[in-house]
Amino acid sequence: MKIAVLIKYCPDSEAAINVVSGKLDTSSAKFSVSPYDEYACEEALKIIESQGSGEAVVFNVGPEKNGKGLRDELARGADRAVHIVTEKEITCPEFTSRLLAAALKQENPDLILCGWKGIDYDLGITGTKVAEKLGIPHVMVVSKLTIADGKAICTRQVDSGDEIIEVPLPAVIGAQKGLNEPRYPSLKGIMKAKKKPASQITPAQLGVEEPTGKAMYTGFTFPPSKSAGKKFEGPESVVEVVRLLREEAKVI
Amino acid sequence: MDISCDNRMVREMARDFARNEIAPIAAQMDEQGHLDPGLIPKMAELGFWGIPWPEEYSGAGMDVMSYIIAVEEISRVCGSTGITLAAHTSLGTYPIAAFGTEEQKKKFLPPLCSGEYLGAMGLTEPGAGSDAGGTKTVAIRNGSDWILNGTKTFITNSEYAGSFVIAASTDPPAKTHGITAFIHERDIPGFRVGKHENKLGLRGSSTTELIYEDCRIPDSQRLGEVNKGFKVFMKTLDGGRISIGALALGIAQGAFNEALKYSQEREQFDQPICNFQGVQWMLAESATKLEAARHMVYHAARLYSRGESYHREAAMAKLFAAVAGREVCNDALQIHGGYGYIKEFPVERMYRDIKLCEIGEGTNEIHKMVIARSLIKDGYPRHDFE
Ligand SMILES: Cc1cc2nc3c(=O)[nH]c(=O)nc-3n(C[C@H](O)[C@H](O)[C@H](O)COP(=O)(O)OP(=O)(O)OC[C@H]3O[C@@H](n4cnc5c(N)ncnc54)[C@H](O)[C@@H]3O)c2cc1C
Ligand SMILES: Cc1cc2nc3c(=O)[nH]c(=O)nc-3n(C[C@H](O)[C@H](O)[C@H](O)COP(=O)(O)OP(=O)(O)OC[C@H]3O[C@@H](n4cnc5c(N)ncnc54)[C@H](O)[C@@H]3O)c2cc1C
Repeated sequence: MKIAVLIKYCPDSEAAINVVSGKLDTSSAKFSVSPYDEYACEEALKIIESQGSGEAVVFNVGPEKNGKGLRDELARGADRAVHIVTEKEITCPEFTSRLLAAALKQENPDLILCGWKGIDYDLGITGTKVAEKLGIPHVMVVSKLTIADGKAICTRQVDSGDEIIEVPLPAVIGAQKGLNEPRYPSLKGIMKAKKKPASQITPAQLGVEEPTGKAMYTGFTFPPSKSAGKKFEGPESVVEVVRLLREEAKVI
Repeated sequence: MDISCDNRMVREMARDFARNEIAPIAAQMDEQGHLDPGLIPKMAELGFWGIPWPEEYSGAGMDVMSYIIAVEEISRVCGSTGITLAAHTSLGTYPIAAFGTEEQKKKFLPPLCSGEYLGAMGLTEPGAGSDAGGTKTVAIRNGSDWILNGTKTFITNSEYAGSFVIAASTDPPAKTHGITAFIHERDIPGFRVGKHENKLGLRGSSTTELIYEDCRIPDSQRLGEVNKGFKVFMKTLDGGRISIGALALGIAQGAFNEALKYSQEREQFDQPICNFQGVQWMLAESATKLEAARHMVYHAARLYSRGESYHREAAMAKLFAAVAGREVCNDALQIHGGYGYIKEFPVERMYRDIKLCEIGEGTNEIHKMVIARSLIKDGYPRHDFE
């Protein structure tokens, strides 16, 4: 089974992000593969291990430096990388998904795994758009996945219980936390990653142009800083808490 | 700092692993006085026990810098695990990789590199510490075997070790010119692991005596030539010093991280204590010491990787990182005030752990001796005299 994994290379969840005159400044941030995409890659490796054979191909769209993210996944165990190299970071999911869909068409994977959203812009749309462009089904926010008889059986946790959804393959599945516990890249894996095939293609080679008339980010601001919280202890403070909730916070 | 892509990946992996798998159990391992039994196999799965050795012996085939970075990262959260890795690699495995015959390498390196068992090295004796040439353990030739009698002390990793590289005198009057190195397995008649030391720090690591009573070791497990063993141990310690430098650097960086965070959270006089110049100066000096120590340790590792002489630089790096690291840990505890003295805060443990770096694999004084001898012989800096 050939499994494609779509990975995004984002500022680390602990990275400090600055806003400079309405623009994001990530120049001092450490980048890493978005955690949801790590679940996706781990799931691909587990499926291949349980089936005894297969190929996991990791895909990324973005500037040269994103190659590091692809190499991290090769070190974890992915077999091959395809890097669609752009000059700058692409923040338009329509463009990203057109590029990915074009590259995926050339590869014809049996299954496409991705994170259900990136931890940077929190859009949660690229996987869905890729499925639409390829004309195949998709299930997002999946926390359990079983592959059998050309089908994917997906579990989605909802407030009141679990939804079980079955789709025929190929399909795009978006990983949610809880799907698995991603492995660490082993030291031998890090050495092997260097020798694994990694190809680079440009948007022009894929024949994809930047869409026009798309939504664009026009500015970023930080939320207003919160004032320090108040601490109440002991049953005797209940009356005071209720009074403050009513009079100060005006929530009851 | 200028490190390769592999080095960066090792750092990230080791940091994640240390944070998720070791940090949560570090205080407990210190308290109980031994490593968590699951930790050695977990580290084995990822290849930690064979980082710089060739793949043909089940190593990861990486450079020494990757190994040094792994020791540093692990030591940031747990010095006990850090010294276990450092002693296993630099003391227990290196002499076999560097001086072993092909047969010895094939026999011992794969289980060492894959973490099937750990390695230990026994040089120190109750009466022979700084003066390691004063080894009293004797080996007497008996047919194709050697019969050993004596006691080694303070030997790291003994509890987990499956192989031991040890020094014995084969010609006592010749002192350092009468020492021979041997390798032996754990379960052999006449050998036993003695009492576990109750230590100030690095309490999770294993430190014991080794006792030899008419213990028979075949000549095929002699490491290097007869009476040429002292060199084996001196060369082993040269490399070991880089790893103790990395241990000191890691422990001190871990303590500093705690202090920097604490100083921003702790409020006294209605403000975070990092606002006070007295605290700021401790932070600034500590970070500067760490920066210098890191440059020196990495420099020695690079010289090693490039196949250049690293004898003096390794000694300087270890001495500086140990002294500066102990000072950094002291300031980190000071910044925590009374809380730094309490076991709930990891700086308390780090302050105890780092002291060993000024003693193990040669005390500060012995390092100054080593450095001074090399200055007198080769001049300083090296290139001025070439
Ligand atoms: C936790 C731990 C782990 C260890 N692991 C190992 C191991 O795995 N393998 C191993 O072989 N050993 C190991 N050691 C032993 C360690 O290398 C010795 O403790 C160290 O070399 C010092 O020897 P000593 O303890 O006998 O002190 P001594 O040599 O008795 O020194 C006492 C003091 O005298 C000073 N001194 C001695 N000679 C001189 C001199 N000529 N000039 C100036 N000052 C001098 C020393 O610097 C020191 O301050 C370990 C020790 C510890 C504590
Ligand atoms: C074992 C033990 C026994 C104790 N026994 C007693 C006892 O019997 N009775 C009792 O009342 N207390 C006792 N104490 C508490 C002790 O007096 C305090 O821990 C000490 O005064 C420091 O206060 P703190 O721990 O809150 O540290 P903090 O005041 O939070 O200080 C943290 C750091 O900030 C620095 N700092 C704070 N303010 C400034 C400033 N303005 N400028 C520069 N630096 C600053 C401090 O020097 C320190 O390095 C004990 C503490 C311990 C650990």
